[in-house]
Amino acid sequence: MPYQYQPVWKNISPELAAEITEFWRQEKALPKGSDADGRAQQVVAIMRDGNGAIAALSSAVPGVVPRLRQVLYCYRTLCAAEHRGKHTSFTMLQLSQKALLEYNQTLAQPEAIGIYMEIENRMIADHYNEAFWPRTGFSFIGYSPRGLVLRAYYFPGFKLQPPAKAGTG
Amino acid sequence: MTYRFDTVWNACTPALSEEIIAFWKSENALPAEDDPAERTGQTVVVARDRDGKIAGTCTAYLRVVPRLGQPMYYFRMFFSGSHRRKYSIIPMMKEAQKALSAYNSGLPVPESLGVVMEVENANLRRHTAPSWPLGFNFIGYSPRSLPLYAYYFPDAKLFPPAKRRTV
Repeated sequence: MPYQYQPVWKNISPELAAEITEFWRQEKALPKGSDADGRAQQVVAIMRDGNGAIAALSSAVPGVVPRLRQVLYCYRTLCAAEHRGKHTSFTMLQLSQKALLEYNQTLAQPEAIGIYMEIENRMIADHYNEAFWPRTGFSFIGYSPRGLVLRAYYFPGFKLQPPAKAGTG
Repeated sequence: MTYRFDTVWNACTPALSEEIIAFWKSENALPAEDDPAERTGQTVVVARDRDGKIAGTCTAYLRVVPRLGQPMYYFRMFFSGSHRRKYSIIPMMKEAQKALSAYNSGLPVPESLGVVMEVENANLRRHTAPSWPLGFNFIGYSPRSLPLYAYYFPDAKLFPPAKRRTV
C-alpha cells in the first residue's frame, strides 16, 4: 500500500490535533487522564494510508538522558496494527530526524542535540541488532532500566552542552 | 613531520616490547602499578619518527564497559611531548581501528563490539561535538567526569548483555 509521509513538527492545527487524538483513541494508545492536546503537539511526522487516514505517527519530547547528561529528544512511534510489518519505520524515522534537525538549526540555542530511543519492539531489537545503524546514524548507548536497548543519534554539527547533573557510570 | 605507523597487535616481539618499555619509561608514562610486559602486549600501533624512533603508541585491552554491558576495547594513546599536536592522532587511530576490526573479523566469534575511549587530553576535549570523525559517538561521562566515545566495528552485532548497569 502506498503511504504518504508528512512532517508536522510545530505545525499542529486544532483539526490535526483532533485527528491525532482520534487515532490514538482508536489504537487505545491514550492513557486515561492524559492531556491529548498537549501530546498532539509532540507529534513530529504522520504517515497516511491510501485513504488519507492516519496510519502511524512519531512523537518527540526533549529531556535530559541521565546516562548522557545531555538533552535529547525521546522518540516514539505508533503504527496502527493493520499497517505494521510494512517496512515504514525507517522512512518515518528519517523524516523525523530531518524535521527535528531543521527545527533546531533555526534556534539560537538548540532545544536538544539529538534523538534517542528505547527499542520496545522485540522484533526490531532482535533483527536490527547492529551496534551502529548506518542508514540513520543511530548508535547503541546501553540498556534502559527496563533492560531495553537504547540508541542515540546526534544532529550533525551540534556540540555537547555543559553536562546536566546526574550519576556517572 | 611524517610518521610511520606500524601495526603490532598480537605481534609484539620481545625486542619491540623492550623498546616500547624504554620509550614509556623515558616519558614517565608507565605507572608503577602496571606490569610493563602486559602493557606492551596490549600495543596496537607504534608511531615512529623520521629517525625510526618511537614517537607514540596506542594500546587496547578488552573489558566489559559497565554502562554498555558489552565487551569493548578500551583504547589509550600516548605521544611523547615533542610529537604532540602534529596531527598524528587521526592516522594512528585509523590504523588501530583497522587492525582491531580485522582481528575481530578473523575470529570465529568476535571478542569485542568496538573501541571505547575516555578523552583525557584537554585539547581534544575542546572538540565538543558528540559525533567525531572516524565513527566515534558520545556515550556519556566516565566516573572521572571525562567524555566517553564509542566506535563500533562495521556490522558488529550486540552480544547478549553482560552485567547490566542502568543509568
